[in-house]
Amino acid sequence: MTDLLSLCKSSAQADNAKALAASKSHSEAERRRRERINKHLSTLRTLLPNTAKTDKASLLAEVIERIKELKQQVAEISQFGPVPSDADELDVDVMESPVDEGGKVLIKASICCADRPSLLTDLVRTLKSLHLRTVKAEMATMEGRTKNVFVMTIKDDAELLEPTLACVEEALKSVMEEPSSKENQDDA
Amino acid sequence: MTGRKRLRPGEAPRPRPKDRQQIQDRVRELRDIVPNATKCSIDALLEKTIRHMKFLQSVTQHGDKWKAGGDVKGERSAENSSGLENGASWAMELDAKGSGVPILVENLKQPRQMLVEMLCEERGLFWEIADNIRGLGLTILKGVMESRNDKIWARFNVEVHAAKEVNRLKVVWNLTQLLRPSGKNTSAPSFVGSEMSDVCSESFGSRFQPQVVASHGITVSPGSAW
Repeated sequence: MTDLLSLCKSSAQADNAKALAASKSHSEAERRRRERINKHLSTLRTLLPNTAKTDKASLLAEVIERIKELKQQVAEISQFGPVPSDADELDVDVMESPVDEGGKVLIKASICCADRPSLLTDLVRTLKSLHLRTVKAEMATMEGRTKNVFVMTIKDDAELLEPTLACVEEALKSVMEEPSSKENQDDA
Repeated sequence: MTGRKRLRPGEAPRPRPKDRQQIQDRVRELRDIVPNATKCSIDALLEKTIRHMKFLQSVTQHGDKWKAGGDVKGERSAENSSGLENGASWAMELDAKGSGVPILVENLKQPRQMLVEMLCEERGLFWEIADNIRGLGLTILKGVMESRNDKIWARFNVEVHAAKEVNRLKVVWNLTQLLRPSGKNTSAPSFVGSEMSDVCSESFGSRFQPQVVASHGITVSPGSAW
C-alpha cells in the first residue's frame, strides 16, 4: 500500500516538476521575447533623432510617419529612373502597340529582386529561349537590390510560336527566384 | 493590485488600457506599410520595420546624388577629345564596310565609378552588354537603353569594388568580344584615345595588338556609326 501511495505521490511530484519546468521555460521565452521587442524599440528610437516621447504609442506613430515620408522621397526619385524596393516584385503586361512596331505585340515587364552575378545571365538566356527582343530597357541597383524595367517584342525569327503572357511571367518568375534569394523568405 | 512594479532603467512605463488600443492600431498600420509583415510576430514585425526604414534611408541618400546635378550621367568632363581629364578609353570596332560599333569607358568623378557606353542598335544587345559588364564583377548602378540621334545606345553607370582592379581597357576589350561571332578572334579592334601610353603598357597577352589609328582625338570615317 505504501508503495502505491508513494508511487502516486512521486508521479504527482514529477508532474508538478514538469509543469513547473515548462512554465519556467515558457516565461523564459516570454522574457526573451520582451527583451527583443524592447531592443527593437530602442533601435527605432535611435533611428528617429527627434523623439522626446518614450511611450510606445507615440514612438510607433513617429515611425509610421517617417516611413511615409521616406516613401514619398523615393517616389520623387523614381521619376529619374527605376528604384529597387526591398520586396520582390514582378509585373508583366501587354502594351498598346505603336504603329511603327509593325503591329507586333509589345510586352512590358518589371522585375525587382536581390542582385546576384547570375541574374543577368539567366535573364539573357530566358529571353533568348522565348524568342523575345528588348526594345527599351532601364535598370538600377541599390543596396544589393536590383530593378529591371523593359519592353520586349517577339523576334522576327520566332515563327508562329508566340509565348503567352502567362508564359513570360512564369519564365521571369523563375529568373527572380534562384536558390540564393531564398533568404528573403521569412518565417512568421 | 494597483501597485506599480519597480521599473528598471530604460524601460518605458507599461501602457494604460487606452494606449493599448492605440498601440494595436499603430501595429496594424505598420503591418500595412512594411513589406511582408502581415502575419509575423510583433518582434519580427519590428525587425522588418527597422530593416525597411534603413533601406529607404539609404535609397534616398543615393537618390539625392541623382537629383543634385540632374546628374544622370555622372560628373562628366567636357566631351572634346583632349578634355578627357578623368581618363577614358574608346574602342571602335571597324568592320569591312568601315562603319563601326563604338564602345566608350570613362572614369567618373565619383570614386570607383565609370561610365560605359556602347552602340547597340537593333541587335537588342542591351542585356548581353549588361551581363558582360556584370561578369567582370562590376556593379551596374544605373543602366538605360536610349536613342541618341536616331542611334540606340546602351549606357551604364558602374561601380568597381575596392578589392578588385578593373581597368577601363579590360572593360572595353571584354565588350568587343560581344561583337564577334562566338569563337572567332579575328582582327583586333582599333583603339583611339587620349592615353596611348596606357595602351602600350597594359599587357593583355600576345593576342592583343593595338593598332594606333590616331594619336589624338577620334578618327571618324565618312558614313561611320557616329
